[in-house]
Amino acid sequence: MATCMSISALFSCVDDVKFGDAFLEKAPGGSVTKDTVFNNAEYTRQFLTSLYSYQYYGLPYYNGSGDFPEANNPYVGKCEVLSDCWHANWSGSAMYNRYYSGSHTAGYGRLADKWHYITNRVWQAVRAGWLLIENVDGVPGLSNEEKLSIKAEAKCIIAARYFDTFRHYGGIPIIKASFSGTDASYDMPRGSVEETVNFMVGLLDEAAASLPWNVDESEASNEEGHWTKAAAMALKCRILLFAASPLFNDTEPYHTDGTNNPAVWYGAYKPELWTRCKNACAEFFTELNKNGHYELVQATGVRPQDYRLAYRKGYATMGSSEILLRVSVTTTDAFKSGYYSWHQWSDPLMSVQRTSYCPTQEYVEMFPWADGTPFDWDKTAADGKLDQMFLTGTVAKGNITLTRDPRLYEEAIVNGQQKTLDWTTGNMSGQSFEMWVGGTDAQLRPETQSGAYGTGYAPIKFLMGDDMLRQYTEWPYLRLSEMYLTYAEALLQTGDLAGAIKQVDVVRSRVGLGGLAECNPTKNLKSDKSALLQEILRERVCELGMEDCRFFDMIRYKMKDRFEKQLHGLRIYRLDASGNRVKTAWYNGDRKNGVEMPTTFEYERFEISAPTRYWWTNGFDPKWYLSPFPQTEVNKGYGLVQNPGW
Amino acid sequence: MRKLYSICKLKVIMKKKNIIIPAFLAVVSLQGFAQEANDSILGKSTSFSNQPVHVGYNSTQRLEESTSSASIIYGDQINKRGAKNVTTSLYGQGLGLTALQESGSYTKQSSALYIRGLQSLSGSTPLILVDGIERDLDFITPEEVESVTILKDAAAVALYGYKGINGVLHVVTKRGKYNSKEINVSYDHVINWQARRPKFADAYTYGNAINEALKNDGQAIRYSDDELNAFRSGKYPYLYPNVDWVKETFKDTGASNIYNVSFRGGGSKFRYYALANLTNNSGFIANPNMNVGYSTQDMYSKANLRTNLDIDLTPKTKLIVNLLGTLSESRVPGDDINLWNMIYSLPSAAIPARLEDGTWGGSSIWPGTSNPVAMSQAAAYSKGHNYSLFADMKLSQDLSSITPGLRAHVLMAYDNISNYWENHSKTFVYGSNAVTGWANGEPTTTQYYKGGADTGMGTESNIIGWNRALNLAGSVDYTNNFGDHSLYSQLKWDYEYRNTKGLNHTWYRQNASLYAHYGYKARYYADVTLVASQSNKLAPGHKWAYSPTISAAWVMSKEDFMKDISFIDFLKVRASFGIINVDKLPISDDTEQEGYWEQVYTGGSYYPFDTGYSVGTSSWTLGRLASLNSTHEKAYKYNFGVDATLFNGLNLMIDGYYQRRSDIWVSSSGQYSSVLGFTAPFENGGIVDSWGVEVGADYTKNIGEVAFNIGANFTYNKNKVIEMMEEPRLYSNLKQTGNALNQIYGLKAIGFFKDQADIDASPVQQFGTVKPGDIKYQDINGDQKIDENDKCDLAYSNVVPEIYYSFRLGAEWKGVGFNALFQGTGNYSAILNTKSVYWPLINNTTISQHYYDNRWTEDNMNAKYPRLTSQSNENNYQNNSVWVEDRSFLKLRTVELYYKLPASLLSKTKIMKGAKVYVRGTDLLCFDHIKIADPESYGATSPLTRSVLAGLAVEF
Repeated sequence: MATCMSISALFSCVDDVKFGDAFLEKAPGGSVTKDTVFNNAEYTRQFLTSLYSYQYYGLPYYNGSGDFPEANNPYVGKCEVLSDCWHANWSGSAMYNRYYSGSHTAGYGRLADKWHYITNRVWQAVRAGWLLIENVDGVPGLSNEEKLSIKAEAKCIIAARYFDTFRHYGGIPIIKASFSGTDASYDMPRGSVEETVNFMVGLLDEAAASLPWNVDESEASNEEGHWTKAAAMALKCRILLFAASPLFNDTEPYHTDGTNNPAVWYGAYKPELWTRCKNACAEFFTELNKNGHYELVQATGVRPQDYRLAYRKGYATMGSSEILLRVSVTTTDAFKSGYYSWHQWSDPLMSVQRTSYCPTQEYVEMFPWADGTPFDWDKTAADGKLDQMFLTGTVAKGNITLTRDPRLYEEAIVNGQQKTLDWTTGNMSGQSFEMWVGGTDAQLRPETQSGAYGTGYAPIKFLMGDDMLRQYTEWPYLRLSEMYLTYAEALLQTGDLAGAIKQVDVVRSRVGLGGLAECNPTKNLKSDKSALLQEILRERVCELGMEDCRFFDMIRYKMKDRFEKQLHGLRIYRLDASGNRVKTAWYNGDRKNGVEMPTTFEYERFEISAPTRYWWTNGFDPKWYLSPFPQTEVNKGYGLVQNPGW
Repeated sequence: MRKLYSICKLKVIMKKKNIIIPAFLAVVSLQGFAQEANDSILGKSTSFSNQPVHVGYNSTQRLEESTSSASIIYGDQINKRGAKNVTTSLYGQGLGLTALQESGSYTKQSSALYIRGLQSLSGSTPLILVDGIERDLDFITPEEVESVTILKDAAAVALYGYKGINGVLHVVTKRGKYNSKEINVSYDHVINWQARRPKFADAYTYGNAINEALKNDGQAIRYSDDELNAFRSGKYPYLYPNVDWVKETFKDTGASNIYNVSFRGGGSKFRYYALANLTNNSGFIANPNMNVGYSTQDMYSKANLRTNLDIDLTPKTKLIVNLLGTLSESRVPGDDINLWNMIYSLPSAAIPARLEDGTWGGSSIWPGTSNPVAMSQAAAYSKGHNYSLFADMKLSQDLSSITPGLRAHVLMAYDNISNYWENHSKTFVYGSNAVTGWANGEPTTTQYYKGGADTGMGTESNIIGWNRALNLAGSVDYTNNFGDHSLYSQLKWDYEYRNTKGLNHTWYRQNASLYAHYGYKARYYADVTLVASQSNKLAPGHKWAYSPTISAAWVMSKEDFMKDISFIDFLKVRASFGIINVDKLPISDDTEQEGYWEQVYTGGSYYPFDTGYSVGTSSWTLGRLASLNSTHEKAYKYNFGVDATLFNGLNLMIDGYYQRRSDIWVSSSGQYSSVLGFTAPFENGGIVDSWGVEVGADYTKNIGEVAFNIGANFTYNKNKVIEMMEEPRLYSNLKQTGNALNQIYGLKAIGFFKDQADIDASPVQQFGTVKPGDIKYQDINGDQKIDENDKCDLAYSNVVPEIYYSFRLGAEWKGVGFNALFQGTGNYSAILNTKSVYWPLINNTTISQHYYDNRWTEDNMNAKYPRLTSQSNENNYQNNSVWVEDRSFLKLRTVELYYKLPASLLSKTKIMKGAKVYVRGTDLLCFDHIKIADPESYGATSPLTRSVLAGLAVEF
């Protein structure tokens, strides 16, 4: 009986019982080879798509592994928190546990460096880009124009990936073809700064020649995100700005051990580098004037909230007219989803509040008043106007008026700021954030220096609370306002101060601020180069907060003293009728008893102590300006010279 | 048949009630009993030189004429542990086999088996055969095993083609006997207990510990003095509980029952062996019957039904049919939850098991799903089922009509195993009261926390795995003697199809083999094996491999010059050499990488170009680079051995071996610059050498009416990685090439920091900020800082011991007997990283009393362990010498006392031929260095059990 069963079981097997060589065949799988991909137009286009998915996206949003770019991992964190404008208090991130603690070394493994040399899909993108460039000519079914355009896009992505890495490491090996694994030699020494810059710029110049200025407007809603001539030219300006900056272009290297290392120093101060940058910017604006299409999003009214909305739409709206290149993540963001955890982990309205990038007091003080005149804490305190430094009015009375640079409210959540901004009208609504110690939102966190409210301010850029519910968060890889400021800086460095101010004022006027020179009559901006440079750098971080600007400005200008500066938060204390501090919430607290929303507070600028940064007490070693190459990679002995000091 | 029916019925009864020795005895006593004679303390019925060696040829060779290295274990030797299956019976058995205990959970019990230790970067798991077919040993009960042969050298494993490279364990099941009839019945009742359960701190101690840890971390303490007092006094058991979770969740003992009935015999043309086995185990959950209609006890139950038939169809045509069907089922509380994992996490002060109103305890930090008492009673249960059928049939035809000595055989085997999972679990409401206010030393106000929800029982069920195999074989063999010359030769073809659950998990292999065994004057033997193997796992053009082996033996004791040496009864020397191939695939991320010979492009991630994220385009990503000119791993095996019987009773088996493994798959990523942007290909670049000795001895002597037996096995296995394409290392201490496989690497501790001054005076340790009481490391590379570059090899492997030995002794007098088996290991290391026990308090886990008593404090600077901390501490909690312990041990594996009823008495019953009653102990003693946990299983898992067993075996 059982025997019968076993025999019938044998023959009920549907796989053929094969004999001889036939049985050795492997079951067909779902994978294809290079020949398949580059013999099919559609597959080749999809291969280009994969290059796009290798691009840099600036918001840490997922704890992935394997091929996942590590810079996008919240356990690494965003390097902006190493600057003087944001501070992180979550011990899980590398920024906290390796950079703040000063314990970073070249022997790093996963999730440790701010830009891991190997695990950011840079080199995969470079190889795939060259593979595409090398093979696209033989693909049947593609027109010549399309082939040209595919090659140009691949070149842009290679150049962009190079720059993403260059700004952390300096000169890097220059790869000009795809390797097969059977090549005779793998000597890959570092390129010098000059070679690396010229390599990137060369690729972009070639690409710009065969790309359209903008994506055809009839296809814009479906094809945006592709590289264009405008984006290629803009990236060139950004690269040349970085290269011309004192980090590499100075009379001495940033680190004493860098003297003989052309990969981290041009070898001398070369003013022509600034001229080159200025010329590239001028070319960009000439083309812009000729072709149009891109423009700063302008406000439809003159209230501060109208300007705030214009600014928000400019950086955050999909298809915004001022974005030259946007990068998407390859997953949908249904808001606060587990996969796209940028919101879930960073948003002050969420309970997690892990990777919160708390704005510092230093940052908030950089924002001028709403008319453009600079903010001065001491003067404001002396005038007894600290209670008006963010806004005036209350929700109940419906008379809240923003008193500062409208961009402040997009970069930081301040006390009294309402929770919602209407995307069409710019009207503010919702309850006020209670940022005082014991307040409904901040609770005791400004005191314990924990979570999103740890500094007394909370992050809002790219988060926007419920305003971003079920919307997609794009990364503005290149934005037009940066171009004005880059041009301004290049003009300044080549001696045209008035021209520089003119460019800065384009950006300022969009948010309703007065002209830079008019607002700062005492600073002699039209003649004092260094004062104007400070204003331009300040304007950059106000305009480009969280957009990978400030940290790199600080290393470009070797701002050792700013890295060493003890940073501050703001503790706000609610005062009761008799002027005593009370740690009571209002909305979730005594509002029920009929108490009106408090409007008088005591302010205390406190030294951030949880955590402190190693550099504040031990000084800033210039080695930190650039990242260390992983020791395991240096050990391979193909010519990768370690950066000085590591 | 009636008997089997009774057993089935019995099983039904058993499931209803938790019973029943008397009932069983009542059933079996309806018939008579008898006792098998080979149950003597010798453990075997034939002389050493005549032992059968089951290498896998059509004819079984005697040890005397065998040229291979093989050792034999007999079924009755291993059937002493009341074990669930054969693998858990093999500790200390056989020469050259390393068997290590793994899990204390009865359901998951299995052993790690190795033959000649660690051998390769690609893994060292031996091939397991049951009656010549690769099969899972977990389903074979010790009772049905006739013998286990351990095949070690090239000559012994050559026939198995691509599969035998790590050695072969060949289990042969019992067969019938011509013209006889016997019925054997046995019953074992086993009482199990967990001798080394972890001991965690009580609530007051825990409270102090966490406060101390938080203080050390510079944070606010968690419990005030009032609260600590409340823990100590136990005055508020629902607010400030002190729960001994082990005691509340588990009882002290569990039990197993093993029932066997076998029928063995045959007529003149027919032999049979049939076995019915029923094994039941009931676990340690203290209160499993709190629900109406079901129990939540950990249970395991298995029934085996085996039939082995030998039918002489004609005088020249023989048919063998072997069938084994098994059904097993297991039940665990909740959705396959691990109660012991909870025990290793939950502090005694965390939550009460239940609140005053009966609600299960649980808080926001420690939810009710981490409450083991609740989970063992209120989460219902889940069930696993395992069905298997192993069937094989072999037809042999004597072709002496063509030429004398010629035979032909055809074999077919079909195996099928499937696993099924039923989830009946449910969730429940839990809660706790947190004190929010105190006045005058009394808690005044509380806040209630509620979590979880009551749900109905789950209804999910699915297949979680299957495994199918088809084996076919055909062979022709020829045996003849020509005067002084003897020859056995066989030509064989075999075919294997193997399929496991999931896509692309189908493997085909086939072998064609020629084996010749030549003897001269019955004292010189020479063997040649030529095997051609094919596998579909390997690259096109490289699927074939040829494995030649040669071996020879010389029975010296048959030489004239030895005849006069009286103390030598039997002496044979043998030697072998062979090249053995294996079709291993490269492994990355613990997964076999198929298709390594081509670079594939796989579908990449989706990238949206449109503003609505709706028109996303799919993409292609590049796979790993192809491995060009690939080959496959191979072994060059050399063996030299001596088999001897001296002094009329001392049997010796001595082997020395050397093996080189080469062309092992390794990743070449250390060899390529990462900027090339590809995933580096696998290359056949690994080389590992291994060598060792094995000495087995066994001595039997009768003095008067007392028969004595002692024996010992000793194996020593070393290995060394010669090449593994390791990434370049900056310092020599980081290099792993040149060391043994699976060695433990880490930092060398040189004590604990005494104070801040000590920290300031020492090289900087770059694993975060260190504080007094943290581990201080040695600057191995001398660069004045302590970092990753100061790691070095710290200890032996924690996977397989280099030394594995055992010894046994026994004596019998007039039917009363005693025997004991000790087994030990040496050159074996452990990493003590069990949560709470060695790495306490992290992530709200608890702390063992052992750690608390041995922690660093300012008053106890010469402590064993570092200061307390509430956080994962990168400086302290990484592989370093503080956590490395000597894992070697010596265990009393089995001890037995028995009484065989005298034949004179039994003959009066007319039906009983033999009867034996016995008491056995399993793992009763353990000498080791870890002490607070079992050296074989010290993690956060079910502790290993020890047992005593009382049993009865009767033969009719």
